[in-house]
Amino acid sequence: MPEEYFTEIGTTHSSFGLDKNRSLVLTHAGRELAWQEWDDVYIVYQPSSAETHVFNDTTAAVLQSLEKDVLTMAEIGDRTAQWLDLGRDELSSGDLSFALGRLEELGLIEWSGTAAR
Amino acid sequence: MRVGDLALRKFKSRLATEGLQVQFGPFVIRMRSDLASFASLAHQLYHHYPLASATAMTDFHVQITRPRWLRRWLRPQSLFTLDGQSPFAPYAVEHALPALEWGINWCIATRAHHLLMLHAAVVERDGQAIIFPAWPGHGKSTLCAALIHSGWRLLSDEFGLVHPEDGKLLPIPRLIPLKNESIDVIRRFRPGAIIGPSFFNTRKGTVAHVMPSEESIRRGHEPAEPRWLIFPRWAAEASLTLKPIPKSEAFLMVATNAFNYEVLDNTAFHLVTDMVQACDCYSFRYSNLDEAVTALNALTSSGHG
Repeated sequence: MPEEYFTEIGTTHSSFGLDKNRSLVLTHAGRELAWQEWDDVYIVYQPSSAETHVFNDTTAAVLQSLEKDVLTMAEIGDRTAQWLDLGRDELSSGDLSFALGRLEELGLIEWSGTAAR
Repeated sequence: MRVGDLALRKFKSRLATEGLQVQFGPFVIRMRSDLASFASLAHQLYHHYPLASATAMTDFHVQITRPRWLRRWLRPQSLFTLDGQSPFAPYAVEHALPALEWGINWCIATRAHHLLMLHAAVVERDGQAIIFPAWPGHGKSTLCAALIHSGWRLLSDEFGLVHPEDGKLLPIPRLIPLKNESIDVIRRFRPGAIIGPSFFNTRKGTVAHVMPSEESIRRGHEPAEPRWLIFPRWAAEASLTLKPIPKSEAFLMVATNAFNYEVLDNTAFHLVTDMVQACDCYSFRYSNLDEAVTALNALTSSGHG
């Protein structure tokens, strides 16, 4: 996982710190989404907000990677790259940063243990 | 029994007293009016519409009547009311029929949330429907009027009504309001089309109503399967183009075009998703109606769409 991910995420979105060992998890809202994929565009309905989102493949891959596991940011980057069939260095840090920030804003992902703190 | 089966005198009398229950697709509308000029016109243009039975549940109680205040004598007006409430400012009395038609649209758009409502024209042939979602000025009604005079059955001009249980399209074959230049365009396209009088200087310009065929109204209870989603756009002098568009794009256009997508939440998402999945999706740009109808007939006859 290239180190630049953490720098980018940390500077773009305040809640994403530089600690690559912290883990992210799907929220309850992130687990109840309805999906439809057409042509690498994902139409996603979020019942908790009654909103319909349009996600690109990177954002969809991040969500998919968190479906079963709590993952560190490094692991999310690796799995997302794998899901997109990209090499480890081919995944744009900007894309990943944008996806994580968007998903957090929508309340679909959170830091592991956030709810307990 | 149909509206036209009542003698005009009896029609007027019932309109002015207890009202008439008329079936418009899935809706029963009890209409009342004390306007003699409106009654004569309504008797002609609603001729083929079925009267609902006396025991049928009424969906909307509407009236188009003279306001009570002094103005009625100075410059006569007509006032649309729903359940005794008047959501709109009065109209000129001679605009009573378009006012009632717009009022019924408003009733449906604001209250019929048991159905998904697309802002779309829908026509059917052989059980399969073309849905034309469109925004004002895109030529939806003109194209719809041309198609129903070219072998297609009218399901709707304004509301694409989607039944939540099975995703089928419900007919609501009401009068088609043509505006401004479109009126003469349809008169030239099909001189035999039955078009009511032109109402000048309405809030939407000049308006005239095309009567659906008797068959479309008689089959007003037969739903159809969505098969093509076509987004029309009329443009003067434009060359005809009919281009496939990605389903994701079609989804977004249908969802944003629906009257009540956000009201129906999850149900709307699944209905629109299923509809887009079942349909071939195209953008359609046209200027000439003959060319447009020929192109759509060719597309829908080709089997694979």
